[in-house]
Amino acid sequence: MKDNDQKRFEGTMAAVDDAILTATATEIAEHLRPLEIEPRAAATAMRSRIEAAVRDRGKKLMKAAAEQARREPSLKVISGGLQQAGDLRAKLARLLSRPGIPTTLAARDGRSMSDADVESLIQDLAELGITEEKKP
Amino acid sequence: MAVREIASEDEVRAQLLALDEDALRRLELGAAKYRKMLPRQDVEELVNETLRRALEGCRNWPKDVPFMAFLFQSMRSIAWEFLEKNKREVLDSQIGANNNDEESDSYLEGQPAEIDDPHDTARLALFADEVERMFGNDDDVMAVIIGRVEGLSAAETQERFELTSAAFEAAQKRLRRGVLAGGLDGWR
Repeated sequence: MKDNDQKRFEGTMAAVDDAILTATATEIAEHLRPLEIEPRAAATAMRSRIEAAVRDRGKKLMKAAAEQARREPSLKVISGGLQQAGDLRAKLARLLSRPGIPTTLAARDGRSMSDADVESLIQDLAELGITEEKKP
Repeated sequence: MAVREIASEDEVRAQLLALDEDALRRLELGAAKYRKMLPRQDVEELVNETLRRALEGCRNWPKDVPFMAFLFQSMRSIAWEFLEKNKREVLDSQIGANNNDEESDSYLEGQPAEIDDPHDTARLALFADEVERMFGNDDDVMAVIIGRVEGLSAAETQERFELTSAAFEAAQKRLRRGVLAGGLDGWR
């Protein structure tokens, strides 16, 4: 019985909804006015509600992420800049560990060098033809 | 049977934010029609709940369904849930049950019982009766309604009830005017 009532209600409302979706813009405006809804204000109000709903969703996601980070201390904050510097040092270490690299260079493992020095040394090695693309 | 592609949360959000003024007005009108059967506050929450569920993925948007049709469909089923929720709470309050459910973000789950007007609980179902009474002598409008109740497409309804496209569109227009333009005002 309940299922039949629901089917009947939703079907009836669906027929009305279809009629709203196929109406012209002028007809929509004509239907809004008797309901004391000014068409332009209706669009503005609905847009505000959508934007508020999107903001709420964003806040919930941020809250959930913060909660997860609090519950799981093993999660580390990852900084894009640090990761890039780390990647460069790893790249330098890989280049310097190749056979045939002069010992004076190989001794410079990059750990005590600044980020700029690491980048500069990788460029120097590239000029010597030592890159990850091409073996020396 | 083909697997339906479900939109991601990002796609739903982008689609909502991309709705133009015309679509926003239709959405407002789609919600406003429930004023005829629900208290104003419930109508406001009906829209919020529809947006929330779409954004949170509680209701999936199959991408082969037009986005506006998906939103309207969600609104219909949430409106029905309002009715069911109110019915249950009236029953609980009548037997003295304490209905302090656990905390929830859902508006529906946080609503108090509306026991002052038991007729409220049946408004949605009665509304369908009123629409049928109003158009009982209009075979074309009844065909449009019956087609939808039975899950037929517009083309299938036209074929089953031998309606031309023009007759079908005219019937939709009469239904819309009857429901929205005052024909059912004060039916309660």
